[in-house]
Amino acid sequence: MSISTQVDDIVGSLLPSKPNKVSKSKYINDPVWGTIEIKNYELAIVDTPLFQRLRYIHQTGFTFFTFPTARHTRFEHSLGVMHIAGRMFHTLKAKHQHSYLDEKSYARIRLAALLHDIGHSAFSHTTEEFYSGLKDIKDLIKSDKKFEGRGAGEVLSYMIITSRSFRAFFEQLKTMYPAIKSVTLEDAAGLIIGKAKSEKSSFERDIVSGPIDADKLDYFPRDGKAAGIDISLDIHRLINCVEIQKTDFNDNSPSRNSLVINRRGYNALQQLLFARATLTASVYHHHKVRACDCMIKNLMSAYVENGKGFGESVAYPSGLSLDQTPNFMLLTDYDFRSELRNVAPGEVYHRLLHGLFNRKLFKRILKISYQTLVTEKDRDNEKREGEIQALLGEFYNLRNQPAIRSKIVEAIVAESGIASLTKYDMGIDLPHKPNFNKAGDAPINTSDTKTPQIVHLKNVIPIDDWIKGYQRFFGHVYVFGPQDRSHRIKLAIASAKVLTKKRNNIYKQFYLPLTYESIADDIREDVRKLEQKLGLKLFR
Amino acid sequence: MAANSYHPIGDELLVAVFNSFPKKKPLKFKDESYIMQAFYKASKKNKYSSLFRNYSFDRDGITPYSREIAEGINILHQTSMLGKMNPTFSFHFISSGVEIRFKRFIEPKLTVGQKKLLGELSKEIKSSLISK
Repeated sequence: MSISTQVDDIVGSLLPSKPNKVSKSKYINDPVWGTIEIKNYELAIVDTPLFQRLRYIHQTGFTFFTFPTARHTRFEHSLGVMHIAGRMFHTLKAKHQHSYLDEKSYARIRLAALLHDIGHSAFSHTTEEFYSGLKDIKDLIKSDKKFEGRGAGEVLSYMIITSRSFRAFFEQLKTMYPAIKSVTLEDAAGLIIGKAKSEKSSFERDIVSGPIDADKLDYFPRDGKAAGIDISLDIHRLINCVEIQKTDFNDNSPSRNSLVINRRGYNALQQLLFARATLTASVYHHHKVRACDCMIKNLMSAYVENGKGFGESVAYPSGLSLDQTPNFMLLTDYDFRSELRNVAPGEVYHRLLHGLFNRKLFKRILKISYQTLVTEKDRDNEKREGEIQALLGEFYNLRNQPAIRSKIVEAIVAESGIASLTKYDMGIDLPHKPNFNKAGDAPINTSDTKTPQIVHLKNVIPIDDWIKGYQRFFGHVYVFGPQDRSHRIKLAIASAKVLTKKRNNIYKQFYLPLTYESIADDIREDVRKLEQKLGLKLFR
Repeated sequence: MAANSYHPIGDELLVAVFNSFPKKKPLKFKDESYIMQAFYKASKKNKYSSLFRNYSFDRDGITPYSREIAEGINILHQTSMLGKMNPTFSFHFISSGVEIRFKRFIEPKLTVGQKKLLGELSKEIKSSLISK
């Protein structure tokens, strides 16, 4: 069955045969934005199981294990994005007299914003990172030009909205609500994957999926507030500073009507970037958050590699296969909690699920980065430093080679001699870079006159340099392992044996010159003692 | 002889291209987005399509953006294989790590044809960056 047929079947099962008839708009309270209006036709979409499932998907995955109040979900975030997208549109309408800023455009933008995360699955980006490596979605993205360069989650959202089942549902909605009579789903879904209907309406895409889009304007303050991180943001000012300007940054492309921030929004933008930096350093890349990510990915890999069905139930007697992307649409965070009842104690699935939901999380064994690997002595020797840089680069590039990474982990577990452990009980976490670059592309109108002067945000604020500094000093790769201290000590020795071997069997000519500095602080002394006891010299 | 099925992945394409750049002499360009632009321009040429198999560009935004190239630049930064000479923020230098990485890990995987193609790509990217 093709991926689009599978998506269509699942969407059909999550939509009512007839939409709810909602007489008027409703108002709800939002802790970030206050009162939010939801139009009657939007409510008819919100009232479907397809949308309601977002209530059970935490916005920031497992961060609540470290920031207990970060329990907000994709549901309220989606409503928030819709609200902000609508407000951005109103600002533009108040500033410009363009005929294309009409009711149809307003409805289309809000609809796309409401549904931009409809493809999300359990633990949001954690599962997205996993299924984006699956063959079905990778093949689809490669085969269809309109998906080039887009994330798997966005593609799934697009497929859901343009599925036959959703279109049939939406056609019924159109007959019930005249306000959306002339809105086409393809145009709305296109905004989510960065496609505007025309260069004239490019600003719509920028509002939904641009460098400074409604998504970012909602999740920065929402994530900060939920996690209890004190960040100062003036989103209201930023919204008031948006305008439409013609830009032609893209070589050989016609000029387009882009969403631009005027110079009065500069300080608010600076705050926004600082908020992003703060949230990345303290929340998104927190080592406990990374440990949870590693555990959940290991769990899913264990299901796929062992051909085990997930969530055996009356509806799915053999469980769902986690090697098919559309099945992720049927999962929420709660399904993983329930799965604990389906697995037998002693099995790796049980160990990981029990560990996750009872907060017996993986702990750090090694922390690897330029800072922990390159000593002052190395820096004095250009050739030596270059050698370490090359090896570290090869190691970081394992991010793109999961099969080799998996072999390394297997070798470490085998080397440790701990019979009770499997390769799923530990992991090498190679986080992606903080995604700032698109924000850096945001066009800023620095002119105070009627003649605009458009520059990219990164030319005004050195975002790239912040990322570079952050990654160099704080962007560690972690080798994680189980809580048992003696196991971690043995795994540290085993990791060093595998990684420091000059011609290891997995990866010719690859080795990492580990230092004592690269061992997790709490086990460093014990690892050193064990190394001496074994008569080895593995660390520098 | 390397197998034809190999295609550069992650930072490998950047390393292979920068390998033939001058090491000690700083390169002058304003910011990393010029690297992105240069690779994007080259990626549009059919002759390089096999080198760009594992790289995709989002062309819908204000400027072309490739997650893979961005991640590759990030690896070069994290390892200090590509650095900036402060405080001008416009001179970049390439460390000897690039050459070691290329020779030891990437070159053995390349075919003669791929090496030739990479040489041409490198020249093109160099002139594109330097002209900025």
